[in-house]
Amino acid sequence: MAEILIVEDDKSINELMVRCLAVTGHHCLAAFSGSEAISVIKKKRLDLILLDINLPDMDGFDVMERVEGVSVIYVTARSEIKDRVKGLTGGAEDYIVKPFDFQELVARVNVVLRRIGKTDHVFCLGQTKIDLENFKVYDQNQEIALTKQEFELLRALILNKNITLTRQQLLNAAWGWDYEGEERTVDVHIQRLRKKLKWEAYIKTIYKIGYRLEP
Amino acid sequence: MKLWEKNYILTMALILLVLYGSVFFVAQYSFKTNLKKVCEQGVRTGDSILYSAQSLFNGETQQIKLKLYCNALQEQGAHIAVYQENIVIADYLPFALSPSNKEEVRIMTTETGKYLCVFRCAYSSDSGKVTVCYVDELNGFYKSHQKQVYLLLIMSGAIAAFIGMILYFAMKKLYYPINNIAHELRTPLTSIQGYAQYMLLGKISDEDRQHACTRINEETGYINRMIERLLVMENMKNGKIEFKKIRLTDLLAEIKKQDPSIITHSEMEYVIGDRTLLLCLLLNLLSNLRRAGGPVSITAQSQEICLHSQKDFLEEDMLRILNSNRTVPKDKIKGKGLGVPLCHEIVKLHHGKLHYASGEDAGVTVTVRFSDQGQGLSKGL
Repeated sequence: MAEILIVEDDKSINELMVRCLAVTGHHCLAAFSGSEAISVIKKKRLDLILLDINLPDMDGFDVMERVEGVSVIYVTARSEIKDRVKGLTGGAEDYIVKPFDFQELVARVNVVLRRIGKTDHVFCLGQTKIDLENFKVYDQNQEIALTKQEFELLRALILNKNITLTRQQLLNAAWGWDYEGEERTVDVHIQRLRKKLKWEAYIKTIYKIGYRLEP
Repeated sequence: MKLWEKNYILTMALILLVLYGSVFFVAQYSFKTNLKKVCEQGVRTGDSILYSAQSLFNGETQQIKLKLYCNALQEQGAHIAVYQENIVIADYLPFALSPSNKEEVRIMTTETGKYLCVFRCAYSSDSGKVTVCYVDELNGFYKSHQKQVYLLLIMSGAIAAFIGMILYFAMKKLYYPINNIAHELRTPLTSIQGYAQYMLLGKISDEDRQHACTRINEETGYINRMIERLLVMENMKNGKIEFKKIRLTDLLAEIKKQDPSIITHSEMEYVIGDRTLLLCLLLNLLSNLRRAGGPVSITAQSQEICLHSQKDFLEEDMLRILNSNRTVPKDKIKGKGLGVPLCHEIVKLHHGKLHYASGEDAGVTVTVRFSDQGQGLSKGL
């Protein structure tokens, strides 16, 4: 679970980002202006900042200059190349342009957190312990053998816990973009996964969409 | 490159092509016409020289007189040569010319870069065919033509620059609202898309679902209001405005209904104008002042409506931008970016003036001043 500061002057979008990231288990703080953001940065220990560029009192780039030792992702409506280049060369980890996709935001945040080593490598649920780094799964300290695809499905579900993943997304995550098999393959593997981990209660089927891990 | 910039470059390229094409055509036409005139004049001079030479030609003494005549002409800048049956009688030309050449008029360049025109006239006498060649310098003509071409190029350059500037600002103004709309639609769309996905994909409670629905509803309302404003702008551009006598107390009451916290005071009874536009103007100004957070008052007296916020403050450069109706820079836009230009347009249509004033302790005052002329004109309507 990471500590994330969201700096966005639009109340509605700020709240949306807080809610989206909170669903996946992150703890979020909200700031609505540059000065408010700077004061939070000084007081709190943060893992990541999601920073808008058009802020009422100062530019997001100015806020970035005051940030030390915390990774930043710009989330802005400014889509011009010069802004993207300025943002990324100024030290930001990523640059997201509005309107963004809910899942894309979560995925990009997770990628940055993984890159900077702020994600938990071990995920525990009930009696099951999953070591995401070493591809090991234990049930009451007994290792459970999973195939590569099963493990990748499990990883996708854990990283997007509480978010519904479509069958196509799961297929892409476990088999890759070039796989031409049917989406039903996912159902078979999810059934196996549920059985092996005894996670029938945790991996929910979302009717006509896909699956969701609800810890 | 933005679409309007591409369109601008294409249009300018076409204008330049037509403009310089016309310049080339005019220069060519004028050169040919003037050269024809010079040649005709030269032929006439050649004929008169030939006529004078005829009387001096026969007999030895006469030939001496002919040479003296040629000398006198040379001193005046005219070079001639006289041939009898291809035998040179007198040659005062600055270059060698073959007597057998049959061309009547011939333009040539010397090694020193001079332009010359050779006119050849002939007559048949008892002693055989006599030919007189007369050479005139064309440097003056070429120089004046060159000057004419330079002048045309400078003039067309100035015209192109003028057209280019007008076209640039016109196209920028035309595409400016589109840029802003695209930019400003992103914010509510992000919210709508995000909350919809949040409801669709996230594991959320009923309370969260209710909240997301409220947000989507609010944001669609925001987009709707923005579209309404755009339609108002479009109607203004097309001139679909209805001037009527409006009771100011009714107008202020309607504003108060939308924002009960405002303080209103009116000494003006009526205002003449378009009700929708005036309402849109006051609500826009009000929403801008409300951003600072403090209370806003509206006072109407002696053809002026003043909106004041004590808590707000505008810096000097921002005041200059707002009072001159220049485009507010993107980084300083706080709302949709359509408000200020729209307000200026509405006030202009009512023959009034919009003025912003601010001081560190004085807050911000926006004054809509209706001119007597505008109100009188409107009464006539």
